Amino acid sequence: MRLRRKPWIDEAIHEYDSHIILSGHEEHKGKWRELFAHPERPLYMELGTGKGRFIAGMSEAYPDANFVGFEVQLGVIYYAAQKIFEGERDNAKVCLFDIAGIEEVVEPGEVDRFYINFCDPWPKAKHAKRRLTYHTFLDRYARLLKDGGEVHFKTDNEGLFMFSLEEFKECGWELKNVTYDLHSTDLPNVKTEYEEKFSKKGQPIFRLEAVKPKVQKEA
Amino acid sequence: MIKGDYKTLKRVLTLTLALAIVAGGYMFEANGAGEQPSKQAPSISEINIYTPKELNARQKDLVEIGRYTASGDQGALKSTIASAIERGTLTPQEVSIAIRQLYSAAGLKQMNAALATFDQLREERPEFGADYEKMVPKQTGLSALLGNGTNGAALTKQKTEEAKEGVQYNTFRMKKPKPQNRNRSRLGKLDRELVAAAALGTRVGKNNLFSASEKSLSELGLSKYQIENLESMIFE
Repeated sequence: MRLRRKPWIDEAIHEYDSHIILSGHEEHKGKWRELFAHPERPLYMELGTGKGRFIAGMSEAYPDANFVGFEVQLGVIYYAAQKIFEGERDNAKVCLFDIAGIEEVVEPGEVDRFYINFCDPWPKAKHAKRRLTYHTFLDRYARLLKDGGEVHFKTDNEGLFMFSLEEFKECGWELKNVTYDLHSTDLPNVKTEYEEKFSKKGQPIFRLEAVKPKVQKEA
Repeated sequence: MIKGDYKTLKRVLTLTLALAIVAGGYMFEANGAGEQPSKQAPSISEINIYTPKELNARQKDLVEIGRYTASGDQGALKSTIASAIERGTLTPQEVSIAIRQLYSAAGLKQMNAALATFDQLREERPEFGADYEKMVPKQTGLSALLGNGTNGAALTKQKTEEAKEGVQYNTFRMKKPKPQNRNRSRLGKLDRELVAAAALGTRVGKNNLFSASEKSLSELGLSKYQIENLESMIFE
């Protein structure tokens, strides 16, 4: 999601400093849970939070879990922080960071679950390695997840979904609840802005849950 | 005189060398030494450090689909397909392709029954998505002008059914995926052979036809352990 640059956000974002981490991410490596009132609760991370409707909705639907959302664009993460702040959620925070370097800020085995929602499909074959479900990314997630940790992936792009299915299987992840039309199931779901927009047009939403493989590759 | 001796000696040496080569080659062949390397060479499955000991989850699901299609066990087929799609081992398109190409191995009647079961499952479980194989191709050329023929008839029928149920025709959703995307979920040659072998084995038993099918699977890269696994699944 790319928005026009809004200079006023540079100042305005500091209103939500309690719910947003703009710098010093490395200091939280291995200590993300300590940011929350209940560090014993499971830690779920959303990769590419966007405007934060999903993380705000999830933190409300699952008060017994802690949520951290990563987003690289300041103009977008502002709205995510605003939603969490206005919802008075104490179990969610957003972080301005490029997830390409996630291993620099997250300790191996620290996370219970990753959410990847409507990421860029990078449709050209030569850009496949940029897809967030490319096997190099999956290996990183596997290292950062706890044993039995999961990745929940949602997209409207069938090509990306088929690609992801193959990648997960080839990397030894166990798949479950694979759906080709999420909105016709009774699976619990919090809609993102993007999902709302495209499902109204009749576009089916694809979703899968993948459990971390028991044997994983070394870094 | 010395020159003549040298020439004779050269001829004798050349002849001796030629005889030695011919005799050596003959003896090598006579001992069967020339054939030994290929006879003694270990099989590929023995050389490989990693030889799969059994079929993987996807292959097992394909075998089950072939088996239940041929035996006509619609209840088991339905639960196998549902489980395979939920676990992501097979996509709905792959299941559809697997069943459709069983017309010769399982028989046309069994294949149609299996397709009907799959259609029923899709109606019950809409999360398995649209059946792209059934979608009406875009009309072009003469058929588009005339508005009749196979494509036209199918389109008319579909529209009538939708009008009856009051469903709006959603062009965005009914759009076929691009070919490069569809190809990702196609069954490979080994998969197609495997599902056919399972259906054939169930239908005709362990005879020459099934043995030929097994040989073909072996050539496509299935290890002997995997073939044993296939047999145990079919003839259990």
